Amino acid sequence: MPRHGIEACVPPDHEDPALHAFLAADPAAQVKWLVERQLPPAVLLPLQNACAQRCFFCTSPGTTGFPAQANTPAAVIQRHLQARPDGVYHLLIGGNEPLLHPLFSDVIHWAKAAGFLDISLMTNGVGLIPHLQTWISLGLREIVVPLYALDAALHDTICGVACFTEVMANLMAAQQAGLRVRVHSLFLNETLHELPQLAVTVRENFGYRLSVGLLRPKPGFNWQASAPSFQRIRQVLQAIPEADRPLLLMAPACLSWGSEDGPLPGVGPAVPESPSLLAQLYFSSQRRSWAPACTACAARPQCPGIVAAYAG
Amino acid sequence: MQAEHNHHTKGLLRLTMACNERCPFCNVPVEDYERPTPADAEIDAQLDAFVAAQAQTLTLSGGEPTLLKRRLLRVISEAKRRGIPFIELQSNAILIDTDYAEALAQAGLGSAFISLLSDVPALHDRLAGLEGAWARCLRGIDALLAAGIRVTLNPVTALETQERLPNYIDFVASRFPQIRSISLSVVQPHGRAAGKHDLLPDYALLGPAVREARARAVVHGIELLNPYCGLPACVGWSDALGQSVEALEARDAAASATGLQNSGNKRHGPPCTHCVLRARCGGAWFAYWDQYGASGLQAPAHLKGPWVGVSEWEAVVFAPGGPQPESFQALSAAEKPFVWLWTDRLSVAMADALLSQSFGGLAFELPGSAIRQAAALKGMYHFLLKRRQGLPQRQPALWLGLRQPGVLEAQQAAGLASALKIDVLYLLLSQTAGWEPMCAVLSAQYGVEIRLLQLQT
Repeated sequence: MPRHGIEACVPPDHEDPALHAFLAADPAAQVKWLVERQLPPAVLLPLQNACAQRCFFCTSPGTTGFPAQANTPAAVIQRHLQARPDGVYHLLIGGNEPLLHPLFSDVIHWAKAAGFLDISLMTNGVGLIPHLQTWISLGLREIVVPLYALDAALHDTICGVACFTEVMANLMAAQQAGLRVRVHSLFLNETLHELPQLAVTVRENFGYRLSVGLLRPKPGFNWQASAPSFQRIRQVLQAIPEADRPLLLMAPACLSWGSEDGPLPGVGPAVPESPSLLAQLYFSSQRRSWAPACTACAARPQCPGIVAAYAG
Repeated sequence: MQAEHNHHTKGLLRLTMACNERCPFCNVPVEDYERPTPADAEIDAQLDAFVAAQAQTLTLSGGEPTLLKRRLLRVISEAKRRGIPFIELQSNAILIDTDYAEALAQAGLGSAFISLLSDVPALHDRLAGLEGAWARCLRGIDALLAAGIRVTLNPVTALETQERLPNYIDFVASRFPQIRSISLSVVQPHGRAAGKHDLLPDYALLGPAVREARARAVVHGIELLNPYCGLPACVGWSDALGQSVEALEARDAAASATGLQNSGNKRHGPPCTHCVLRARCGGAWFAYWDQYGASGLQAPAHLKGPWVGVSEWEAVVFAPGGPQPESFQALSAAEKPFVWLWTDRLSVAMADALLSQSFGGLAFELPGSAIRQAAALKGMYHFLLKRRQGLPQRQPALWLGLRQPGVLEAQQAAGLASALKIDVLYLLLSQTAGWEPMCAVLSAQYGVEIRLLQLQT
C-alpha cells in the first residue's frame, strides 16, 4: 500500500497489521481500502502526539510518553490533506489525542482549504469547547468520544485523570452546537454494571446509540481481570431495552446477532444505525482470531472473528 | 420553604436514578433500581397525572437529572406550558455551567435545590464520592444564580460535618450572598448509609451545632428549614416548629403521615413519652435508636396535663358533657404544640369523631365510682382500641383522671390502665396523704404511671 509520509509503527502483537497499513497509507489508498470493505469513502489523518490521559488499557510509551519531536509534522499533515481524492469530502481525524497536537487548529483550517466538508474527530472530549464554534464553521461535524461510566469517579479511574464532568458538559455543549456526538465504550468488568445506564443516557442526550467494543490485551495491565466473558456481556445486553441497546464494534457474530442461545434482537445488523466510521476503524485494529468453536459456525463467513485474546 | 409548604400539591418526578456522584449516604442509590431510567412515556404519564391533580409544584429529581439534559429541558418546558407554576430541580450541580443554567431558566425552571455538602472542599468531595466535585458544585451554583434561578442549599449533614454546621452557614453567607434558604437535611440510615456507623450524626453533638447555625442564620438573614430528612424537633428545632416540615404537616389531620412517620422508618422512644412536642414530631430513625440510643434526644419539657395547669407548650379545650363540633373547631384553632381535649363524657360516636381530629391527648375525667360502670367507660374503650389503628406517632395520648376514688377503685383503675395501655392515671383526691406508698406499689405491680393530685378545697 503506498505510503504518504505518515510513518507506520510496527504493529504490536495485539493489533492488526492490515489496519496499521491503512493508517499509514496515502489518501487514495485509504479510500480504496474503505470502499473495498463497503465502507463510505473518507480520508483518515492520524495525528501523533502525547495523550494526557492515562487509560489503564492504553497507557504506554507510545501514547503518553510520546516525545514532542515525534509529533506528526506540519508538512506531513498538509501533504496528506492536499492529496484529498476528487469526490471525497469526509475527513477522519484520529490520534493519540488530536486536540493536544500543537497544530490542531491549523489542521482544521488546512482541511477546509483542502476541500474537506465533513470532519469527524476522535477525541477524549477534554478541551473541546473554547474553539468549537470556529471548528464547526470550518467543517467539524462529528466528535467520537469514549465514556466508560456515568459514575464520574469510576470513569475517571478508568481514564486515570479527573475528566468525566468536563467531558460530559462538553458533549452536551457540542450536541447543542449541532455536532453529531458519537459515544463509544468498552466492555470492562469494572464498568459492565454501568453499561445499561450509559446506553440510555447516551441515546437520550445525543440521539445516537452507544457503541461498545471488546477489550484487547496490551502489555501493562491484566487483560483477564478486566475483560468480561461473552456470557456476562450477553446477560447485560439482553437486560437493556431494545430502544437503548448499544451497537457492537467488531463483535463476533455469536455476540452480535445470534448464537446457539438464540438471537439478540436489535443487536448487530438488524439495528438500522451504524457506529461512527472512526470507531469502526479503530476497533478494527484489534488482531482477530478464531476459537475452536468457530470452526463449524455457519455465521463464520460474515463474522469478523474474535479479539485474539478471547479466542485463547 | 415554598416547595415544602406546598407539599400536598407537590409532584416528584425522578427522571433517572443514574448519577455521576457516589454519595455514601444516598438513600435512593442507582443499584437499588432494576431499570434506573424510565422510558419517556412513563415520565410523560407521571407528568399527566400531576397536571390532572393540579400540582402546584413539580420537583425534578433523580439520581442526577442533569445527566439527561434533553429530557430535563423538555419536561420543564412541558410542565410550565401545562400550567404547573413552580418547578424545582434537585441536583448536585456539577454538570451545570453557564449555558446549561441559561437553558434551564429559559425552559422555565424557578428554583434549584443543590447538595452542597460542606464548606470544606475535601469533606464535600469525600461525601460526594468524587474528587473535584466541590469546585464544580460551586461553579454550578454560580451559574444558576446568574441565570436568575433561586437556589436552596442542602448540606445533608453527616457525622464528619456535623460540628461544622455553623461554619457552613457563615461560608454560604459570604460566598453566596444571594442564597436565602438552606434545608438542613441530615444523613438518614437508609440506602447506602444503612449500617454505616461512620455516617450517621450523633444528635448530642448535632443539636448544639444546629442551634448555633440557626443563630448565625438569623444574623445573615438566611432562612433555615428542618425538612423531612432532617431532625427530631428536640434536636435544635424545639423553638422553631414553624420551620420544621414534619411539625407543620402534623398539624393537619387530613395530611398523610409521610413526614411524621417517614414511611415507617421513625419511631418515638422513651424520651418522647411525655414530650410536649410528641404530637408534632415523628421521633428518630429506628437505626438511630439502635446506634446511639437516646443520645441527644431529650424532651424540651414534659407534659403536665390539664389537672395541674398546663405548661407553655400545652393548651386545653374543655368539653364538659362530651366533645361537640365547637370543641373540634377549638382544637383546630389551638396554636400550641400539644393540645388536650378534656371531657367527662365520651360516647362511641364522640370517640370516632374525636379520632378524626388532630390533637395531642385526651384527658378523660370520671368520678371514682364510674370505674366499675362499663357503660361510662364504653367510649374510652372504643377510643383506646381505635387509636391503635392509626400510625404510632399520630395516636393521641389518653390520661385518665379519677376523682375521689376509693382504694379498691384505684386498684381496679390501675389494672384497667395496664390492660388498656392508658398512658397516665391521675388520682384526684381531696387528701393524698398516705396514698403515695400504695400508688408506688400499684405502679410497680401494673407497670402504670400513676400520679396523685390533691384537689383544692
